[in-house]
Amino acid sequence: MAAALAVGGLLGVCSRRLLGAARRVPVANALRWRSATTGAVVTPPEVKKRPKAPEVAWQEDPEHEDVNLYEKNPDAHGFDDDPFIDLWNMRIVFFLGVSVAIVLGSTFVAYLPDHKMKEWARREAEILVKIRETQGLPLMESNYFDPKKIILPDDDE
Amino acid sequence: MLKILMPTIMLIPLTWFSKKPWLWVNTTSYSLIIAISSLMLLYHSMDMGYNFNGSFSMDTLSGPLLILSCWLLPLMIMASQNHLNKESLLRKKLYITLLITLQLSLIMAFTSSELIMFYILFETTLIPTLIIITRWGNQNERLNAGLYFLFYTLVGSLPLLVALLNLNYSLGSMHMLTNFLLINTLEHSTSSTLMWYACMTAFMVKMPLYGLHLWLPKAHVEAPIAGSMVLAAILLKLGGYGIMRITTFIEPITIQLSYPFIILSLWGMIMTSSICLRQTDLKSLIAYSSVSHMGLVIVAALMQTTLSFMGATVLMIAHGLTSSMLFCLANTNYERIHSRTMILARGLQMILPLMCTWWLLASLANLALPPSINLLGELMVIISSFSWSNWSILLLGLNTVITALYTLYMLITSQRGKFTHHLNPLHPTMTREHMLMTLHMLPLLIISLNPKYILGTTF
Amino acid sequence: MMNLILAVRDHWVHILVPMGFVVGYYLDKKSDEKLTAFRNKSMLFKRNLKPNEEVTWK
Repeated sequence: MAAALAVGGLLGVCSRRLLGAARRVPVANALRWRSATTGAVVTPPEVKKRPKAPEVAWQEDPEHEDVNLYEKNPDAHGFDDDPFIDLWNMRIVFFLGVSVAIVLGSTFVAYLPDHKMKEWARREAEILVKIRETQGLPLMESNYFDPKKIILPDDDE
Repeated sequence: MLKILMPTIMLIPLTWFSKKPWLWVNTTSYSLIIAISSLMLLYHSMDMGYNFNGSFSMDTLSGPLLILSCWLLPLMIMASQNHLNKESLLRKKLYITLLITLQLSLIMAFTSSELIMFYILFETTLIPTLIIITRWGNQNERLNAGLYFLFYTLVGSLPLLVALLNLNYSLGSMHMLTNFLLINTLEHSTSSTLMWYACMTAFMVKMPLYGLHLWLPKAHVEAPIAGSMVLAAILLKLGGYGIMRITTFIEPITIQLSYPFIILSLWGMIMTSSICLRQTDLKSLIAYSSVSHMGLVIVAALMQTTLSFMGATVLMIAHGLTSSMLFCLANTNYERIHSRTMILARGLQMILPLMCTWWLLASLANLALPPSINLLGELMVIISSFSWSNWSILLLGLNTVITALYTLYMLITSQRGKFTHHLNPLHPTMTREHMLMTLHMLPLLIISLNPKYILGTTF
Repeated sequence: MMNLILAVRDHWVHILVPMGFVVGYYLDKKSDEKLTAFRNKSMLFKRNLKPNEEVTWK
């Protein structure tokens, strides 16, 4: 780091922060003093060398993103940095997500009783149709409830 | 009902009291347990809804959506694990708390039996989503997106509040299950027309209808992964759910007034699908594809036939799982390439082959390949709209073709071709990501074996 | 003994969600009891009780 700053000071990168840091380094300080005496002469090399240094830095480490996950934990599952937690998180998610939710859950749903009593209604209808056909009644009446059974409340109630 | 709600509330102290290493493990496992126990709500013995207590009820329309939102919480938590890796512990906990709050308000919104309470919870879902988008989004544009998101939905739903209060005054009750049984009709007048528009606008914005959809791509693109997932999977469905619920209150003028909306949404489906064809941004493409699919749900929900209601319900569930999975896939790309631009991530088939399988399955589900539940929904909608008007088959057929086109375009751009040189330091796919995709894909495949549980109230 | 206390201190958070489940179950039961007031009162779905039957549902 110090060397980089020294180089930075040497090159005289115009960034204020780098200059300020360079002042603290004795070598750079000395270089800077010398350059200050012949201010105009020092500027050309900095322009020449400057493009190189950042380019290398950019290529090497763009955003500090690419951490080698497998270095620390060869079996990383992507859950956590800590291998132990990672493994257990994976196990729990697999157990609850696949074994319980998907396998047992779909078994549960598959063996649920008649949804909305659709199948019962179908069976019942077929039986009713048969009975009514044998008795010669019309298959369906316009009244859903037996009108005799419904007792309406009095109007004044 | 409270059997689901109370544990969900207890997830919040669980998050805050968990020790640092066990934070993710605890929240994931307990939210999964809640999701599993919510499966009990799938069964209905009768054709009518369940009345849990005075303020919560559920029927076969809200049940599947409720289970979907319970199922999505563990998936969201799993999906954000890598994304939040560098955040401080406090922020992680805050983030999970927001997700849980969102889930809580969604559960209550889907089960509330009073329309006013539904309205309040409908608005409550905005707040956690807004915070998630504006705080954890990736670009600076997220603030703009948050503004769009908030104001589109808020302004759209203000007339609904007025209309609901007015309806409450005239009907005396806003209970949804009661109003299926009661018959009250609005007369044909300007005021009832206005009432209809006021009731519909909020849900049309939320769905979103073409023309009112501008907030959606912005919010989707800028939101972090969990935000995109929940937006696509559940928040949009609140709109369809709301339309199907509120039309029972404002009969019978829907038949006349829905005409322009159906046409607009048929046209909008084609427009948004065509927009998808020229997208460069992966997340934006998926967002527009959501708009296009939701157009189908709007058509179905406004058509008001038994078959179209079934189609709308199926399509909502199917699209919820599919689009959420597509956003997860887009996020895995984003975490590797650090860009949403599609052409920057070509040829991933060679580098991440198993992920390519998930891409293929998700794309096939998105374009409604035959065995999938998406096809069932689309077919039901197309059949019922064909019997509504024969000419609509032209628009719907064209839309189906364009849907297939842009999905294949997305698949081919991201998976096939020669990869660019900057892709070399890609880190490999993780068990976590494959698990995430599996937990999206398997329910979708299993439901297509037995779709009667998500066919809604009219089955 | 010490181990037990340590385990309780470390893992007491696991009680939270099951506790929520139990509380929810209890509250559900209580609210169901409230609904018994409307039991067999509907004019449309009312039925006569069988001989050895006290209520239509519990």
